[in-house]
Amino acid sequence: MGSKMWLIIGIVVVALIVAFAYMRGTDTAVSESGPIKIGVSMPLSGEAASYGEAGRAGLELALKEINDAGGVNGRTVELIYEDDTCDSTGATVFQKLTSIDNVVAIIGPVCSAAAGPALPIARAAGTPTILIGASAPGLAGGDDSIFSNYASDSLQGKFVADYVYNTLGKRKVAVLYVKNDWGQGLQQVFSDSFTALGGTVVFNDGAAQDATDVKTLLTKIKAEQPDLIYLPAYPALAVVTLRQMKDLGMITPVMGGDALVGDEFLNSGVADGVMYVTGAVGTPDSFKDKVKALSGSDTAINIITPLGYDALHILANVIAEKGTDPKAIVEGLKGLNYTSGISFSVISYDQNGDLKEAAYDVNVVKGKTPEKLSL
Amino acid sequence: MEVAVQILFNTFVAGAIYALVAIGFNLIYSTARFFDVGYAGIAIGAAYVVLYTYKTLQFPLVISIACGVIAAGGLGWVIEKTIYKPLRVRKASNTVLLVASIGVLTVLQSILALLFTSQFQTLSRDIGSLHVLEFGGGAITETQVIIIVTAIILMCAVMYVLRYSLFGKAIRAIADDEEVARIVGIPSERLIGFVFFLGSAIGGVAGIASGFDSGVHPTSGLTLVLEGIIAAIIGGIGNVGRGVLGALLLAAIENVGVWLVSGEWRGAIAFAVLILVLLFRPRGIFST
Amino acid sequence: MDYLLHIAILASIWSILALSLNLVVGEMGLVSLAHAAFFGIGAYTTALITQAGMNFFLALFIGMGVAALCALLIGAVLSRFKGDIYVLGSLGFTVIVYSLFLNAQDITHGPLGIAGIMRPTLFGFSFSSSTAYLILSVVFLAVTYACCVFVTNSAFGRIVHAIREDETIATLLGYRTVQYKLLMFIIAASFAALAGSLYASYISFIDPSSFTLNVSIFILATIILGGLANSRGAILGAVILIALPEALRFVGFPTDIAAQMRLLTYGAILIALMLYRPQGLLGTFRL
Repeated sequence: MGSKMWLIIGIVVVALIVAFAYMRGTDTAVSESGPIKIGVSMPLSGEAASYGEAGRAGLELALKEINDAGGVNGRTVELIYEDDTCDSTGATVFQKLTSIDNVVAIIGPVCSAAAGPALPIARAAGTPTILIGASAPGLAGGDDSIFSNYASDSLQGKFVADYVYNTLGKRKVAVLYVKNDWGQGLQQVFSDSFTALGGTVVFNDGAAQDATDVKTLLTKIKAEQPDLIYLPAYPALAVVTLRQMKDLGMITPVMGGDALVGDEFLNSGVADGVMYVTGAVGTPDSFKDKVKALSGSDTAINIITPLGYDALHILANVIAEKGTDPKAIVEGLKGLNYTSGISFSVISYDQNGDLKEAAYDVNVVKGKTPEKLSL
Repeated sequence: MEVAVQILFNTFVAGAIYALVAIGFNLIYSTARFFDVGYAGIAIGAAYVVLYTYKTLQFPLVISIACGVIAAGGLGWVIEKTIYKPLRVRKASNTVLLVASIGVLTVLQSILALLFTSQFQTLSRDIGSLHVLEFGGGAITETQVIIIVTAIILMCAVMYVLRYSLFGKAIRAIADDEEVARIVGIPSERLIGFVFFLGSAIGGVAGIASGFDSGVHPTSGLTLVLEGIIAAIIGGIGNVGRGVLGALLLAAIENVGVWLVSGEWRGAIAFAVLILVLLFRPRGIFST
Repeated sequence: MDYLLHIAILASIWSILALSLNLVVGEMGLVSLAHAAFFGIGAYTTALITQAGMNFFLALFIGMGVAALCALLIGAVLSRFKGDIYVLGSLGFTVIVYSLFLNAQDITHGPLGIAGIMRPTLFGFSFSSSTAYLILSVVFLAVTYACCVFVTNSAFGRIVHAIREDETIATLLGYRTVQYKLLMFIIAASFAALAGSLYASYISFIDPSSFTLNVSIFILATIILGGLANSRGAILGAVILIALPEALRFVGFPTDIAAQMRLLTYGAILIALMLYRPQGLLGTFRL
């Protein structure tokens, strides 16, 4: 086939795509009958995919519970999942969800890298959006339709510093963090708070999320002889670190962040004895069992699971009370005082859309199960 | 002093894994003459086969590893026959093969993610029973020693075969000039297929070793293999022994670099070394 | 409608990237994976400068200048390499620049990224609507296209083609091939930075994850698909590779495998292209 032929084929393909999208986009208003459509923006492929998968599991459970109970005001709820690949594709996803699918609300994104580009679109359209994991400071900022179900890193970092200094009595801490917005944010707040309290951070360095060899970093830590290692890392890096700590014969106590909630870490074989922070309610076993019963026993479950679950239930409650008009939903969210949450015991938002309060627990892993420590 | 010993051990372990990657890669490169990035997918695929047979099916360790290695070799062979061979016959350029191999890597990674989820998983059944040995202040585990020994054995075996056996001579002839080799009567197609099997199998060993040393994730093959490729190049591409030396050197520079500077820059160190070597000694540091 | 405008704007930006990479890969025959680095340099420079208050268009030119400077340094090293080694070297530079974006926190904020980048304003008119921005992007695309066609058809371009076909002879004929390779590389990098500036201002948030090695590979894939050494092919390839994944969103794969299926399809397309049509859809030069 000559190149002219291919040019024609190429143009036809593009034209088809445009036509397709245009046809789908012809309902200009959110419909008043039929299923209630809620959009979901999560990383479903790539390095962060396990977070998207975990979020999906929680959302599917909530969806089933809501629809089995008759839906919201007699209408079934429908979730439209889109893969934002944890980067600026989030903007494209939000564009599609708001202007083509005409969703009444959006749950997500999980990654700050997706949220940054995406949120201006939701803000401009006034679409109520609940972030379920994106934690870079200021994302939910301002009096608008953006809310976050996940407390900002500044709260968690301060809590850990206080706990480590006052409750555990440690004075020399080494920090090894994962090089992404969550790890970076936590390490900064922790270091500042811990030093302000009077402690010393003897080591502070980061490793990439997919790093497989941190032995030399650990060797450096070993030489400093810290009382404790603060490890705000995602499960992959945490498992590698703990594993290689054992290889090096290091027995320093380790405190992790809330990213360690979930089977990916607990079943890894190196979790025993590790302390980590969670939201004050966390992920009870009964909840985990219900999720697995629905999505399969090897489903990834981590902090995003209860966050997604709660977000959908919250939206269902608010829509049931206020209807599907976006402004009404935003009003409903602003005045929310939700106490049936799995992730935190009380969910309500401050004037910026951030969680008003976030209580934390510290757990220690015994074998493969977490046990709560008294604060 | 203890610290120096520990860094030495760290270097040997990391170097052994890079060396395994480099050996397999060099084998494939010396006959097929292109950068096969799909090799990364095969290496990590082998680790996943071990994950499945060892942890899910509960096969004994040695059998699981054998399954993984053979699966890797087989997969490499199949890909060669179905994708690379038609391209080679058509005398496609290196770049076409490189791009095709990128496609292969993407497909393999997606399949692994579909089959095994994107969670990070560990290979060992029971980490509690690790045996940690201490020498001169540095710690090293049994598993890591096994990895180092395996790398040494494989290196010697491959070098011996290449230099002294008929098969090895045939491979070197093909590497020199494939057409002439065929004219002289060497069954180059069959041999190239076999080299891909062997090289991929060794890559599988590297992937499995890395899996036991840290863990597996569908996208972790590429970083591993890139570092192995860099090792092969700075040592001197196409030569198995020099590749191993390059691997050790790269591991040493990385570990010392992290020690002196910071862990954040680790990814860039390997490539900075690559570029410096390419600038000043493009045939490899250890070439004559 | 907004969604379509959004896709069109992205397609324009990526077309500029494709056109500029085509200068190096198609016209010069050197596979460079360094393009994401210059894309990022343009984006970060513009982001930082506009946040300090400068006008976007001025920032855009400064961004191109900075990228050109970096290209001079990187290209000086890279132009000494040939073939496969060139590819690897360029890959190395992308990783190193990515590391810089990630770790030079004082300037780039590392993984936290730079948010709130403003849309451009010109004589009081703000390009905040999608339609306005699309027009802006298409104008820049047209300018880029014109420049690329001009460069390709000029005497300079002819010499570059000669170098592509046989560098040894070109050297024998007296041309300092390294300088030509360098100049082409700098021109390409400048346009990549242009695309970066447009991108930063449109998306309003940038972080290192938009400038990884995978991005370089993606740009390469667009011109391989569209056809090398063909400017219209570059645009076509970019448009298809941006539009196709979006179309696949509507295909309705079950959600738990949709994302992976898209990646799988993408890889399969690359393989099929290499096997059956390595010169791409409209190309005249086979890799």
